[in-house]
Amino acid sequence: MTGDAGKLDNSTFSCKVPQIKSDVVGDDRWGCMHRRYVAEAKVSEAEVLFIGDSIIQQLQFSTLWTEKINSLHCVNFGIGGDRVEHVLWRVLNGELEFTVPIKVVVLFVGTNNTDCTAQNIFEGICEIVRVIKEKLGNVTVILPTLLPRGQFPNPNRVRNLEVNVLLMNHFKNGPVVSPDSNDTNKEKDLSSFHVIPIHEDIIQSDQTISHYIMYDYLHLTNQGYYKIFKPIYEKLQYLL
Amino acid sequence: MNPCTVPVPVEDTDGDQRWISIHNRFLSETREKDPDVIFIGDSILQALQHTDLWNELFAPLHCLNFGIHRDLIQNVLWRIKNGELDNVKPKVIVLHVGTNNHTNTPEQIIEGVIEVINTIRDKHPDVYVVLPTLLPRGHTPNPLRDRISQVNEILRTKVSALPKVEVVTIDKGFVHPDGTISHHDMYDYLLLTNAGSKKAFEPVHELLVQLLSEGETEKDLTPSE
Ligand SMILES: [Ca+2]
Repeated sequence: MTGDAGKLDNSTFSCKVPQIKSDVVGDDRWGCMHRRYVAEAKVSEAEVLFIGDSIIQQLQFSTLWTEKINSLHCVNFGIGGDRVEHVLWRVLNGELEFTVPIKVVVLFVGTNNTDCTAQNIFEGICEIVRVIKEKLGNVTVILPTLLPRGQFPNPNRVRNLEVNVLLMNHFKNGPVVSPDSNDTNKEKDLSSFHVIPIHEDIIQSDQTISHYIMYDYLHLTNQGYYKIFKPIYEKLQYLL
Repeated sequence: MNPCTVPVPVEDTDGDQRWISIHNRFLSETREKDPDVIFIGDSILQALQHTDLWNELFAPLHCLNFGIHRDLIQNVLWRIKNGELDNVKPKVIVLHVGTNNHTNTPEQIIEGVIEVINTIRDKHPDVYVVLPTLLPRGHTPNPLRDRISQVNEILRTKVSALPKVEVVTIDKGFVHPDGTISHHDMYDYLLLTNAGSKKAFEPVHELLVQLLSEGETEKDLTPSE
């Protein structure tokens, strides 16, 4: 993933190039959120970091978060509208400078890169994972798969699925996870990657997505979060 | 030509047609339900629907929420001209839009809001239109806050003088003495948390209760200030 990146695409426009989100509107909301997260990291005693886009950001207002996930000592550094290159910039610029070490990072980003190829998004995510490992060392990275979107079939669903296949193929060659782990394997777990498929239960048999699970055909409802992100909670419970 | 007064649908730049899907769902809701109150507008209203406050205070009043994230005035205008207020007989319509029109002047924004009110009035001559003022935004002072303040000033003076239009001030109490807005009120310095929505929208709820009880008692009850 680092030196052996010869096969990766090196085109000029790339999700692998960290980018500050430009403040087109003029209220500097993104910059302020980033600086708040940097400050939070310094004083945080959390064991789990959630970082990514609006799907992560809105998770913290769901019942699953307030009643279950939050009890695992989590911080949430989600920013609505973030693309891969924005999260990459954030992790390179202070949001991982925790005083108390983080044990697990849950990373979810990519669905907003609607003008990129699946390969490009995949490489960008790998780059974020590389930075996370470089900065946090012995940390577990959990990658929930990207979710489908749109009420009806559309190119974004296809691309997100392609990203998921690339992620699952790539990270299955990482450290092996043993469910019945003894202490040695547990140690192994804590330095590994987990791609958790959460995208499979959303599209209905007629190929539509219901607004009861995604209110705007992109963001999850409260009950949507409970159903879709529960495997992430269970994985965290197991790891911690 | 003022772009805020020209109805236009949102362009599907993402390629998944989500905006028109949401619009079509709202149309089907008008055919299936008989709401007393319809909220129509932008992200502030859409996000309100996912707060505790909505479930506790607004849902019991038979409210429908036709908020769409990032909508501009001209997009809401298009939605209304294309059926979202047909097939319904609401007593009150709550309108919040304009904060996303960041390339427009306060005068253009006001003209656009008045155009939306007139379009509502054409379809529902007797309905009350409730306008919560626009909320301040951004962690620290910025030009958008200034424009929003100017819009609110005209809302409170000129627009509130229109018949059966009620302007509710909801923008007080968010900017602290040092000029900052807390993420405890607005988690991304734009959209409301549960605590923030309580602060902003409890006064709207009180007015709705008052307007809805009107006519049940005396027909000529003057709305109190
Ligand atoms: Ca109806």
